[in-house]
Amino acid sequence: MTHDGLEVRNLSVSLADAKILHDISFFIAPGEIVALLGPSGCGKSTLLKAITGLVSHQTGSMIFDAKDLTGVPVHKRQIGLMFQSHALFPHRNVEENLAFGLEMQGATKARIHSRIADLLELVGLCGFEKRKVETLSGGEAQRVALARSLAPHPKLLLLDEPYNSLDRSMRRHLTDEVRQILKTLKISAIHVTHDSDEASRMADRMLIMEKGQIVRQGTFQEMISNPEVTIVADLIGLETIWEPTIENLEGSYSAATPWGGRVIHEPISSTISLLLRPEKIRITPDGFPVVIENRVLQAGEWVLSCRGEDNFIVAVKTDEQYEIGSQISLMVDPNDIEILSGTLPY
Amino acid sequence: MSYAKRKWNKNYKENRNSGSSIFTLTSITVIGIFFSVFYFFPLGKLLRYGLSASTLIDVYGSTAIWKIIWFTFWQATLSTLLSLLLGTFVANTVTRLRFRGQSFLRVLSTIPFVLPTVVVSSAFISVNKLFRLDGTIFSLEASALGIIMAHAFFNTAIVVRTVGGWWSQLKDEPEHAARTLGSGPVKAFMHVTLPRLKPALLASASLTFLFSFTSFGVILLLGGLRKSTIETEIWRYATQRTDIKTAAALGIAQLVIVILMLIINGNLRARHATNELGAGFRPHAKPLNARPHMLRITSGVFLVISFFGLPLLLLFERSIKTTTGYSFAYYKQIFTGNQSERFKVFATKEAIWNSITWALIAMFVATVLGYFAANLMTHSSKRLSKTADTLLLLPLGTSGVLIGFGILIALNATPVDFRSKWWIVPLAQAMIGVGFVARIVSTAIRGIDPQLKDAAKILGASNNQVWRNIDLPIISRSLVAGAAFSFAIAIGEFGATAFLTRPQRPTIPTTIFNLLGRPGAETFGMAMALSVILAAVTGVSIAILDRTGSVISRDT
Repeated sequence: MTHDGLEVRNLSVSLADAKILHDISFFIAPGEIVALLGPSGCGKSTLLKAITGLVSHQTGSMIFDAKDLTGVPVHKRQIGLMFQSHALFPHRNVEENLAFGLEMQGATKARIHSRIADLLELVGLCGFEKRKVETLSGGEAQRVALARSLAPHPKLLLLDEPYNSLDRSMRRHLTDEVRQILKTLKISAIHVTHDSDEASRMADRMLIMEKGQIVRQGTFQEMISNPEVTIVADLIGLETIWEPTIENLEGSYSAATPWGGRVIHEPISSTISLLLRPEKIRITPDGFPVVIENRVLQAGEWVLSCRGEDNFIVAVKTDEQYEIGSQISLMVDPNDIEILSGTLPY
Repeated sequence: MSYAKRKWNKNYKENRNSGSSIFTLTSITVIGIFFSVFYFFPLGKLLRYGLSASTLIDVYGSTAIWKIIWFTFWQATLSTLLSLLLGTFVANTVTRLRFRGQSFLRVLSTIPFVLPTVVVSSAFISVNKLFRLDGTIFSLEASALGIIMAHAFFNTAIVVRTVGGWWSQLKDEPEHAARTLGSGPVKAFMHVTLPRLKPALLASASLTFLFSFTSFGVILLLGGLRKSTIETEIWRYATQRTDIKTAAALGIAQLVIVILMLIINGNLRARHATNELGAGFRPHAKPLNARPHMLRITSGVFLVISFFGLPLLLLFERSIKTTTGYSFAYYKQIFTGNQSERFKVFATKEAIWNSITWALIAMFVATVLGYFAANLMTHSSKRLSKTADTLLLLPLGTSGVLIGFGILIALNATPVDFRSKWWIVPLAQAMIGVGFVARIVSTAIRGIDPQLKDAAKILGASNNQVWRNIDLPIISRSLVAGAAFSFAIAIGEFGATAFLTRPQRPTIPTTIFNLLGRPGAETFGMAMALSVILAAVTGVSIAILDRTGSVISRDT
């Protein structure tokens, strides 16, 4: 299923006089899988609904497969959508759910039959034809939902937090599986999630949304190495982020840190936050004193959650084992602290 | 995981009913006696009268009877179809879209549900009079059209309540899924929405069919002498031709058909009950934005106002239209009464007094018995609750005419020579109301979230405190709603009352019927005025008692 991709230009959507999406622009190449990441309520689901046509947009345009989607009704867009709640038809069994889209296209019985067999094999549910929807487990229901949305050969598949109701290991497993399937079929996809781990497993590229706008686009590596925006760093799980007090020096600024001022030469247009990665912190006898409040083992390393003067909370990584409640001191080169634009969402 | 949860709930329910055995025993005794005396004994007697080979052959050998049975069926079928069509459309307008004045429309479309049959018939008669439809093919009197329209007028409310309530709780996702899978709006409605509404449609269809099949007041008043159903024929044979045997034989047919329909209904509902509204459902939070649906809204508003509002408005208009212009002369006549000798026979003041006091007695009896019955229906013993459930379903399906007729022919000899006592009327009315009260209250008891009780216990409440603070407030609200409903049923009751009340002890509905039986503008005007009064009394009592709005907007 090759096509020319989806191009969204300056899209804005208002619902009941509240502006939900502002000036959204992005491009998805044929066969590309893109993750759409953002805090809840940022407009991710509305964006998906706008692309499918379930909500109408006020300004901007969407070009899909070299055609303008404006005015094209939902059922003619050939864009599939997989729902958070899987939304299987409760009055139809598995087979009848899968057949729905094909029936709408007016496919013959024989064709529907063979397509269903293929699809069930694809999602690993051979023999499930006659099963009732309510007897499926969470993972099975999601697989059926995937097969159902693939049945009418969509050119683009939108996935709206599809694994929310599943446990962690099932999520990982399905994420890998769905990626494999989409890549084999060369279907482009937008995968909405708020889990950066799932996003990096699933997608080639990420779009980050905040308050109805796209604030950043790029690969996971690009964002890890240079997040630029506070919300991006927060969403992909970087620590420690805080909003410093800023002193205005002659010609430059100084953001306060426990290790002296972090000098900023560029003019500051809006609010900023600071990012201090755990690997930049050394535990030494003569640094900033903190108390260990909690600790967690992550990938073989301890991550300590520490509190110092002025309620400064910082995450530190170490191989050694420290007890909760003990005191250590930390040393950091202020120049290793990164500057991010924007503030934290909470 | 789901299995474990269900099992836990089941275990929970089993040790839930904390009612003492004395209370249970009292409930069984009281309900048992009441049902035996006022339901099973009378209907048994009716069977004995009707079940003789010669009578059955006589009655069912006549083609006239089969014509009546056939008419009963097809008018009920058409009434059901029309109600479903209108009800689904109105439900869509008043629950799925959002616009100003919507809640007013919702109330307007569900009010007919509690209106007495004589009021609705009077309203249709006034439409007929005002537009001079008599003699045309659109005549609403002495015609099937009027009967079907009046039935739709009542039963659309049931469809709106049931389908609307169900619909407003369905999520949009399956429809959206259908749209993204390539179906247009019409196809999505036909293939996805309609099947999902099926349980609600079936439930309201079977109820509508039952009510139209056993309808009495509407047929009697709008059908005239030309159109009659099994129900009105039973009444005619029993009271006018005093042919008890034929009436009883017809009663048996009625009973058999109603029981058959209840069984079919039960099976259908069991088969189509989906789990869609089970765990994790939340009310549909966001009705569609109104703007793109102006046409739907306009036509919906027009339909509701003209179909539900207009007849009631015209009823009022006819009640103040005298030969000398508009005035409240008929109302004055009702309350001061009897300037002219002609109207002495219509003791309108007494009728109002009788109706209100008897309805209050019926309400009290039905509510107390309904509470007992609800406790049995939710009892932890499966056998007991199942039996109570079936038992309480019977009077819901049995028409007032059969109950009244049964009591008339059964309770006529010592020690149960009750039929000429005045209090037999409110007791018969209570018999009809008790099933509704029991259903409303038992639904509330079953609906109490066991987790609420757990939470209360964990917070330190004793069993008694849990009952006082959690169960009681929830149950009492439904008891009040049940009381309001049973009052409305009793005051508008016509079928049983027509059999049991004496001419010198009239009620509002029987007086309206008698007034309409006489020619003349004045009797007609008084009938209309009395209908308005009856509608007002019903409306006011519902408004006072049913503060929660659960009778008007309860989702069955």
